[in-house]
Amino acid sequence: MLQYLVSVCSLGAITAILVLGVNVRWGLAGELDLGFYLFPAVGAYIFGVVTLPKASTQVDVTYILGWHQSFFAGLLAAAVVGGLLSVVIGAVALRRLRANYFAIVTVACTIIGYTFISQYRPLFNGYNGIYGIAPPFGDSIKLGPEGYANFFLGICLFAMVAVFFVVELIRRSPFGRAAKAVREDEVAALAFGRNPYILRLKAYVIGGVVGAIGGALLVNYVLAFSPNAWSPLETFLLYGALLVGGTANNLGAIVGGWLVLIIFPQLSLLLPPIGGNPDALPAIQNMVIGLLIILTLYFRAAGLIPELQTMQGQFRTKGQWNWSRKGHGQVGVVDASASV
Amino acid sequence: MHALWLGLGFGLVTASVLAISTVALSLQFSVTNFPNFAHGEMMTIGAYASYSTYQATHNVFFALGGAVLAGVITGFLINRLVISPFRRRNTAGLTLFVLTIGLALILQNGVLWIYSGNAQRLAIDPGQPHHVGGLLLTTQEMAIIVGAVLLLFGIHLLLRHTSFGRAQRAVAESPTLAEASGVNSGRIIDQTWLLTGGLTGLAGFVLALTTGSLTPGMGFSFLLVVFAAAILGGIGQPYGSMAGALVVGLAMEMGAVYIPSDYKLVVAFMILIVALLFRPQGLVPSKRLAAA
Repeated sequence: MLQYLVSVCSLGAITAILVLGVNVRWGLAGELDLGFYLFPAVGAYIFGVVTLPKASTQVDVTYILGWHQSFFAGLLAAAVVGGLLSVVIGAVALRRLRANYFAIVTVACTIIGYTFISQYRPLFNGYNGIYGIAPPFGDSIKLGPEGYANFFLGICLFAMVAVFFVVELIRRSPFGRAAKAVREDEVAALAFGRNPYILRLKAYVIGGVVGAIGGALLVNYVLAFSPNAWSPLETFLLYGALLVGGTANNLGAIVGGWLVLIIFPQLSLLLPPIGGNPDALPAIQNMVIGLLIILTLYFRAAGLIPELQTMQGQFRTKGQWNWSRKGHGQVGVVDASASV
Repeated sequence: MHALWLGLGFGLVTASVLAISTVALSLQFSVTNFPNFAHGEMMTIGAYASYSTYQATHNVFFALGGAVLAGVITGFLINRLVISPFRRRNTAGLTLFVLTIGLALILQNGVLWIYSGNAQRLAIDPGQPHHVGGLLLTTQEMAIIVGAVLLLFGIHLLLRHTSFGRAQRAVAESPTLAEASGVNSGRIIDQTWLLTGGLTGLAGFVLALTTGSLTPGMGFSFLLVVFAAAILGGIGQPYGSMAGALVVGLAMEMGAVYIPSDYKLVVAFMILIVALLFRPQGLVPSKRLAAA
């Protein structure tokens, strides 16, 4: 039972990282990126092919690279490729599109990527995907299976906290404030000499890097990755988590990720079986997440932990959490004086 | 050359399906001003409704009626239960768009729950192939093409020569101005949802006819093709949508002659991206631009 909890918590930490990535794009910069899951997927694949040895000619597997590098090299490669891909897609899609159309283009890009990765075998072995990824530091540290699971949970939790601090620092930085200004009023930001395109592109790239890091950890959790393991639809679940947790609040993103994508599905496993087919339970779970999106938007558009009006941290506001009931895009002018 | 003719035939069939769906999306967009992300799921529901009706009655026309009815009911419910409460609060268009993502999750997984993820077969006999001026089309495919042309002509008559059509176009142009001229724009929006719901359900049925099999994700994978056609044609413009559907449908199927057919969707999405970047106003210019 404990081992099961350790495993679920590792997944929870990874999921929270993905939601944090969505939050940088949609929460901070207001980019409705519905193709986000491409970046975790690419991160996972890149981590795989950088850490795996050369594709064996004995079995019918083909993939690029096969550099047999360490965990950190894989993580770094995933982050770099995630960032580069974000630059390419963002540079085109953010150039002049309005929010709805940007969203449609990002979904289109992700489905193109999905099709290409599935069909073009030399890249990541097509539909069969890559497998046999070694557990990180599996050789260098001597732990039993239980001890190793705890160790991996430690890695994931550390990564989650580290990513949280980095994106929180970004949110409070001058860049973060400028990105928020662009989100709220592009024309005003322009009048103050900000370049909305560059600011949006930066946020898009940061989101992509965070997503790719999350994907690299994910592939360490599942130890294999193929088009069966992800679909463009997963992005919507991440949005559900973020909306419920609190759009544009990093703590809210973590809370939403855990509540909606980990605790709720795990609790629903305890329910007596319903429906007549094996797809019933996941289907009902996703329906509930869809319903949560609608109910959150109606009753509490800002989410459980709303966006902070100040540039202070969640816990440094002298015990006064900002329980604004206003949602994203309705928040007024940033109140700079309150942060003193 | 022969393969190209075959591609042309398939292209016309795909364009017919696409045209029905795209016109519905565009009409709905023209009065509500946000793209409906659950549009694909409405098609899926139409397709599965036709499947169930056909299993029960083994009659093609009942199956068609079932799809249309399911689409009308879905459109009505979406508008009444989900969109209207938000509209009364003057919710921003982008929030409504996010809302339809939640709706898409609910509807698609609802179908998955009821019918399971296994592909179902809509076993309607496509009939004998006929040579029509170089094209090789089955009876069913000919019926789809002719039916789509007649339907689109009907929509043209409805928009141009009925009081509903005039009011609908007025609301699409400016709801406040229409209100000032004595049009009940709320009622027109409700009626447009019924009309587009029925058309979308029908499009789902025709899509199921052409592909032969049904999966809960069928509408979602088709949705972006519909967006491609709608945006190419000028979103919110029913006539532009017809032209966009023709271009995208033909490009997808005739492209499949030269490249592996698995990349068919990629062709449509490339058109979508190029159209958005270089001609955001669409073939028939819309006053709502996709890009600044």
